[in-house]
Formats: sequence, C-alpha cells, structure tokens
Amino acid sequence: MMHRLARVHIGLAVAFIGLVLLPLWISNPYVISVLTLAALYAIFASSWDILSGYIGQLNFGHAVFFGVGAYATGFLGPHLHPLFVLLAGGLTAVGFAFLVGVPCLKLRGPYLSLTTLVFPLILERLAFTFRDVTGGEYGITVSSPLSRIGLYYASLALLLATLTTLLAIAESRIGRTFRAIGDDDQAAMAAGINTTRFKLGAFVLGAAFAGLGGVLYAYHLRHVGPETFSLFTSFSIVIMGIVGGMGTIIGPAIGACFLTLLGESLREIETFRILIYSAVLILCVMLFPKGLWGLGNALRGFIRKPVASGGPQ
Amino acid sequence: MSGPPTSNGAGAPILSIDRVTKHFRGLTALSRVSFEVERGELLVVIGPNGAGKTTLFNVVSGFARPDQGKVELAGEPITALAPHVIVRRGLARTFQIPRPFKSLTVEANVEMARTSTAGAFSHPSAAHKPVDNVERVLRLVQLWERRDQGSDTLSQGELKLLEVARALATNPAVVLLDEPYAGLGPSEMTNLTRVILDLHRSGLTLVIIEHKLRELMKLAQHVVVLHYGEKIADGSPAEVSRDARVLEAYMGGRKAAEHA
Repeated sequence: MMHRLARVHIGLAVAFIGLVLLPLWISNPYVISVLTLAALYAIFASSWDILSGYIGQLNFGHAVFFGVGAYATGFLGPHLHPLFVLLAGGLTAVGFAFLVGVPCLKLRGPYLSLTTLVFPLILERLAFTFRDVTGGEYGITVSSPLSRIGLYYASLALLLATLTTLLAIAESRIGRTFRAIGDDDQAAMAAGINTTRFKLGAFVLGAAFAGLGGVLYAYHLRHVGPETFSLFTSFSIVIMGIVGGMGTIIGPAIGACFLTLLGESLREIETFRILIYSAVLILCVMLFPKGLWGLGNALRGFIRKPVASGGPQ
Repeated sequence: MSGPPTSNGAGAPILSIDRVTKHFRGLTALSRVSFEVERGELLVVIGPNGAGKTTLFNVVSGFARPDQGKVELAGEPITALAPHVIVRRGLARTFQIPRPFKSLTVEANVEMARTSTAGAFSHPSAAHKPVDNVERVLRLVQLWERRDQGSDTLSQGELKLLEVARALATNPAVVLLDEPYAGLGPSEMTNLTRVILDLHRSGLTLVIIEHKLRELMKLAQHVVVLHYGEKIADGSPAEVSRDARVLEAYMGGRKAAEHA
C-alpha cells in the first residue's frame, strides 16, 4: 500500500513540476486561463470525492460549497486582505456543511443524495431574491488581487495542498473507516462506528477545500453569480468524478482536467459541443467503468503482466 | 472476554427484554416478547421463518426501534440507542447474510471493529480494555492465515466466520449470532461449533438464532421459541421439546421432519 501511495506522490510531483514550468514555454494568457480553470475544477472534484467516492453518498450539491466561497469573496473581497478572504471562504463553506449536514446526514442512501440536490437550488433562489446584496442575476464583480499568472500558481498550490491532504486522510485509518461505511453502513454501525459523525466529517472536509477553491474561482472569473449554484455546475462535478474514477482522490482531479480541456477545445464548434461532450461521457462510462484512473491502472497491469511474474495486485 | 461494569450483583440478568412489541405496517413482528438472559448463558432462539427472530435481534442491537417495551443490558436501559453505542456498551451482533467490508482485507475488517470500540473514537466510560485481540479472534475462527486477503475472496462460509470474528473484536459481553450455521459446509459447521463452545466456556454470553437444533441443543442451556411474533415457550431444551404449543407450532411443517 505504501508503494502505491509513493508512486502516486512521485506522479504528482512530476505533474506539478511540469505545470509550474509550463508558463516558461507557453505564455498565451488563454491557455494559462484554461489551465487555471482546470485546476480549480480539479479542487472541486477531488474534494467532492471524499464523501461521494469513499463513503458512497453521491453529493449532487457540491456547488453549494464553492458557491458560498465565491460569494464570500464577492462580499468581503473589497474589504479584507486576500488571505483573510481565502480563510473566510473556507469557513463559510464549513459553516454551510454543518448547516446542511447535521439534518441531512442521518438520512441514508438515495434520500441524502436527493436532499443535497435541493440546497444549491435554494441558494440560487436566495441569490435572485436578495438582489440588493447579491446583485441578482448579474451577480457581483470581483477584482482579483493577483495577475493571471499569479492566480495560476495560487490555484496549482491549492490543488497540490488539496490532493496531498485528502490522499493522506484517505490512506489513514479515517479513510479506511470511510471505505468501510461505503461498503456497508449497517455493518459499520454493528462494528461500533459512529457513521453519522464520519459522514459529517467527510462532508465538512470536502466543503473546506471546495470553499477555498471557490475564492480563487471568483478571482479567476472576476465575477460571482447565481449560475454557480445551477444544477449544471453541481452535475459537472459529479460527472468529472465518475469519469475520472471515484474513491481515488486523484481520479476526479484528472477527470476535471480532462473534461475542462475537452469542453474548451470544443468551443470553436459550438453547435456540436454538447453532442460531442455527451458522447465522450457515455463512452467513458461504458468503456472505463472505473474511470480514467482505473483505466490507467489497468493499462499499467496490462503492460507489466507479460514481463513481471506477479500480475496485477 | 471482559464484561461491562459489574455494578450488578451475580445472578442479575445481563440482558433483559421486557414486553417488546414491533409492528411493520399492520403486521405484528413482535408482540410483548419478554425474557431474560443470564450472564454466561448460551441461549438459542428458535421459531419458524417469519417468527420475528431477526426483528428481535434488530430491536436489541438498536437497528430497529421498538413500538413498545424495554431492553436492558447489565441493568442499564439500551432501548433504541444507536447501534454503535450499544456495541460500545458491550453487546455485539452478526448478520444472517454476511455484510463484510468488501474493499478491506480480512484483518482490516476485524481491526475496524476493534479500533472503533477500543480506540480513540470510543466512549471513555466503556470498560473495554484496549487489548489487541485481532490475532486471537482471527485464529479462533481459523482465518488468521488468510488475514491479508481481500474479504471479497472468502467463501460464503468463511464470511459467516468473519462476521463472528468482527463481532468478537468489539470485546463484547453479549454476542447475538443470527443463524450462524446457515450456508456453512460440514467442516465449517464443526469449526463453528468448536468456536461457540470455546466462547461459551470462556464465560461469554451468547444468544443464537438457529434452525439446526441438533447442532446446538447439546450446548444450549436455555431455549426461547417464537411463533408469529409471540414467545410460546421459554425454558431448558428438555422443557421446550415437551411443550405442547411448540409441538403444535412445528407439527405438520417442514421443521417437524427436520427435528423428528
């Protein structure tokens, strides 16, 4: 298990060194901007994975957490130092996680997932209703304290922090308990696990990183509006997680990068964009049920098998 | 096996079920069922399918809330407490159909039960000693050699033994076993009987739902018979087998031939 984790860390290090050095060759602001967006979605998708992938409680409302982080930036951005804004974004998301989680996480299976669907819709309504504060459908304009390239590096740093922290937790006894609850929550209770507390923990943990990411998201878009809470946004995260490979932390991050880059590359053929995007999704789910991460592992096993004697696992 | 706080004197029942009633949409699964389990006793609950045996286990272990009635463990009320709280108080259960943590190894399955009841997450007042009994428990059910295997590689019979091991790893004073023999092969049955005998001799209180009377009647000291949610007999195996209502309930059914 340690070997596997060590390999993942080496892979992460190589990928991040590459991404850090990338602007030396590619200074096109559009490319940097797309990569920043991919990194931010990767933060959202991997933070979604800790509850949805490990405990198996699909969260259809993860947008609540980065959405409130983004709105906190809209409200507080002009008044506070950016680091305090970042902190406020994370804390607001954590507050919402408790607010939503305490009543909901006692529910099991599909009921919890259905409930998570409702909260972003409520917040979307609220954003429209209290237009004096939120700017209604126009939202709030945000000015970024960082340059494009500065924001790129800030997003990379937060992504790296998110991935390493969540991986460390996922590989710990806590992560194993998350998996046990995901396997069978009744058996987990019978084994003495306070399943509600662990679910709330996973919910809050994911919310914290999403909230931090939400601040950078608002800086990146230079704007925050109610569309953040739309069903499309929340479902995008779910799709990124599934395509990347749930229950792996890295998988959803890869899924997020893949789908963000795919979406951007199809921008020029706007008419067929949704069609191609949907086709790719269906193919991914049909051909690689364990996601891109699972596909990677399978390929590695396939390449090794004829050479090494051990075979996969 | 260490028990929960022994504030009660010897002779007080360790588990007391008092007029427990449970309805499911008009169907009465349990109707005013009462009985007591003495410390160290091996009690077998029998009754035809649908008699309410598993519902009784669900109520006692906190998985179902009774409509009426009380359950006490060592004199303390545990009625409708959360399942994980009841386990930490010293009452563990198994499931009729095994429910392993399939993404974890055999050892991790058992370790999970031990740490969550004896580790940092457990209730400070629990009397559990943080003894590392994972190895002892896995050796007892003869799964120690397979500890590093994924639990999804075990046979159905081995999974039943893993259920027992996981319940024991919580360091309980009372264990409820729900049809532990169902689905076992002949050698696994012998193995399980040896395990049950071993646990019984160690002083653990065991409550077992079982159809296969012949296997257990030799060991049982106390038999409770449920029929359509009602307790129709309660006593020693000899008393129960002479009971007119029991004979009537079993007569003509498939069970009559099985136990003839």
